[in-house]
Amino acid sequence: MMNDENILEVRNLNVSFQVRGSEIEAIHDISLNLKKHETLAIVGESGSGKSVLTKAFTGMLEQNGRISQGTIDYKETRLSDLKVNKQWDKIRGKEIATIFQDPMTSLDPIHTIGSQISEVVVKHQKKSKKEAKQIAIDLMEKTGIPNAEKRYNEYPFEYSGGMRQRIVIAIALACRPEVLICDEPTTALDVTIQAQILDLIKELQAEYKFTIIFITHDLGVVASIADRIAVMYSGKIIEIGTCEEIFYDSRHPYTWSLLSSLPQLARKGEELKSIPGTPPSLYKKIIGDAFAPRNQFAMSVDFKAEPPMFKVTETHYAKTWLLDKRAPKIERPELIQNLHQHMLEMTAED
Amino acid sequence: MKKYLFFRILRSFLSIFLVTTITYIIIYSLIPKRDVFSQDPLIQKLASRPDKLLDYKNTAYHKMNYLDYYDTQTLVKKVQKVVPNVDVSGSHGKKNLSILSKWAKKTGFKIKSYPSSKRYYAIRNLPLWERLGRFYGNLVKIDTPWSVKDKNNPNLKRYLKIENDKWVGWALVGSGTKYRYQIYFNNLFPFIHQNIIHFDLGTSYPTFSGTSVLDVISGRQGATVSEKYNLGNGVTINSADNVYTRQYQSKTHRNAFDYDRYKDSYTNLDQNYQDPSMIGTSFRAGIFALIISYAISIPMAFFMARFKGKLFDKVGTGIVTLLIAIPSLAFIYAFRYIGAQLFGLPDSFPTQGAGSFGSWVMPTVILGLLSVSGLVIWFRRYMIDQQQSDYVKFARSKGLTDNEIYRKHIFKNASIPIVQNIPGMIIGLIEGATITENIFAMPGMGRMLPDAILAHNNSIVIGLVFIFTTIGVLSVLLGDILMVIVDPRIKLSAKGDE
Ligand SMILES: Nc1ncnc2c1ncn2[C@@H]1O[C@H](COP(=O)(O)OP(=O)(O)O)[C@@H](O)[C@H]1O
Ligand SMILES: [Mg+2]
Repeated sequence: MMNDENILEVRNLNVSFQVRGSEIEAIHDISLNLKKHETLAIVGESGSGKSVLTKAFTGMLEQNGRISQGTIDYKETRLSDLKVNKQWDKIRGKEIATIFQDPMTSLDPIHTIGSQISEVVVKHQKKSKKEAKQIAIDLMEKTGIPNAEKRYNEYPFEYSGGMRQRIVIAIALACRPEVLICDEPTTALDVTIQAQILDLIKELQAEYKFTIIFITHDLGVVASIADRIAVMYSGKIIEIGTCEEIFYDSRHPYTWSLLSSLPQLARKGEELKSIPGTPPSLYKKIIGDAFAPRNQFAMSVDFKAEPPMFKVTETHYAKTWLLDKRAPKIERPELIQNLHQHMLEMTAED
Repeated sequence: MKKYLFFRILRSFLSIFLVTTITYIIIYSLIPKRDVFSQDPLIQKLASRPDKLLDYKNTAYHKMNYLDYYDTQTLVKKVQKVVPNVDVSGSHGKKNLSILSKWAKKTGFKIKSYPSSKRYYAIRNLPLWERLGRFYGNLVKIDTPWSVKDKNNPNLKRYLKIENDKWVGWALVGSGTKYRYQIYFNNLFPFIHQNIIHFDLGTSYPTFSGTSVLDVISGRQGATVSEKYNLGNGVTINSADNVYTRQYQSKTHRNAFDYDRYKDSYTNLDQNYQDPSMIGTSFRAGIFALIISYAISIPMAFFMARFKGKLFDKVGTGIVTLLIAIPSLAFIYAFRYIGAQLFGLPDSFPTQGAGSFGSWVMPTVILGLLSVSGLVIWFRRYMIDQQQSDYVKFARSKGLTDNEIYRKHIFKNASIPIVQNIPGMIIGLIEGATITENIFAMPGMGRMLPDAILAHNNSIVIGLVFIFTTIGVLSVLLGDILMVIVDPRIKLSAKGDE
């Protein structure tokens, strides 16, 4: 039975893809709770499985993908048991809506902006076409489109990238979802627009009280928006905790690397820190900790056995042998030790 | 938008001009002109009469625009106008030669004498640019009330009037014009017709000798048919005359019967023929074939893409693969056999003729089916690409059902390139109909180009190239205009750069 606080529960989830006859595993043994009205950020390098994980929540895995193990529960519905699109139609949009990275291509190029919003209003809010138009215009205003009445009849190509992402958000809102999955919604936008979109999402969440899963490969983006952060590496969650815990008390060396490569930490004249090496291929069997080959603190055990999830606090878990009693005490890199300080300075500068 | 369209049309004309000119140059400069006679039996017969042979050849070259040629009689007549004392017999006197040579020097001709009679004739090779100039100069003829120049008819009235003519009903009627009816209406598509602008693509030679190229391509064919003309006051006439084509005829050529019937100088006219022209035949077949192929391939591709990987898709893919694998010739024969045996359809076009619906069924269905496979593959691919596009993913994530997504989004997007492609398809079908037309002995234009090339009928070859290029270029243009109508992005972005 599901915990009342949670809206979505994932247990031991594996997702695999059929690729040229062999099966690769993109998500490995992930367990996760999503609390009502929270904002959970999922962070990780590209290819770490963030999109695949959330696609599994809405039945939008590609044809060659399937949930090979584990369960996903949404309220009373066991999502991992849903098979055909007909069953998913009740979940998608109305319960869980997703907005994607590229606002330039997310809208149908040959229908007007307005019709794409009211289409959803008619469907999910059961309104007449005329009412839907008014609701759509209100939504456009709410998402910060000036001159909404006039721009209702324009086409996507007449909108800038930031404006289109606002429309995409308006459409998602028109569904009245309980959970909004934002899959890198700001990655394709430039920095000032990014900040505006983040603010917009926060405002709308305060008003409409939905739960957010916010995917990004940029830890810097989530600091301002997330309640909790899950860090993914190679198809696994390797550390999860509150925003505070991840930023100021992270335990996994991979999280440390991510933090160290925050552009905000780059000192003048110094190169931006990047994580050496590349993530492991999904086609090779991994023994031990997947991050070990790139980990400067790796111990011999890291190459032999996969670490379990160690509990740091009630809300904070990390998957690294460094948390084992027998492991030597290792200091976090100096660069991120006084991260708090940096972040404060940064916000002060803004 | 207007500016864009203007330049677009300008470019279209430029490409028609270039293609035609290049074809012209290739034909007239790279193909030896004596090849014209390679299949002419008369050449053998005339071998023993060198004067006649030379005259025959030069006359032919003249007709084909290779050179200007005056035989003795014409030559002296010409020269007589300038030098009255020229020897009219055209004989080979020294004095005569000097007169003729003087004239020749001025006009660019060369005086030569026939091998046996030694009489003189004149010849002038036409430089390529002059030939081209003549071709384009004569290309468009605009009819005006001053077109007719007839010294024997000084009282000819010159006007344009809208009147209710007793032969054709309401029309723009001209006098002094070449054609009597400048604009008129009748029940033939496109219902409104004109005689103001005529094209002249030269004269056909050696096949259809003497007929204008356009008449060969677009003149109606078959037996003549009579039509009933109601002239009011209870008077009706049955006649095979095509009164719409009435043209000016001088008194010397006119016959009394026609003059009595029409009571004016416009007595030179064509007959009504029962069958459509070659181009008309092909065009009809092409349009029907197009409708058939789209009617089959669009729903087929739609459902194949919709149920990709499922049974319908697999069966469809099988059919398409089969259609591609079978050589079209085998397909045509097999289909013709089945149609004739099972449905009793005529297996040859002339059996029942152009007037019978049955004659058209098999050629058009076959022509249509031949292009189904290509269309299905293309359209299915396009729909599947749309399926994988981001806007479809987003549409799904916002809760639209598959049916809604297909109906409202994918199909509409996929129809844009289809609409754009339709005009181009028609010309493709006309040009690609050669085999089908051959097998069914259809009097269409599919066979015309190869026939004309084999017969060294330069004028027809150039005429066809000109027509095909024009239709081709204009249909691409039409396709783009259609796309502007269905695709908001293009319409508005073009407006934006005004
Ligand atoms: N349909 C698919 N077939 C095969 N492999 C896939 C498919 N979708 C995703 N993957 C693989 O799964 C991994 C995770 O992808 P993804 O979730 O898109 O990463 P990201 O964290 O950047 O969103 C990648 O290695 C990717 O190649
Ligand atoms: Mg992704």
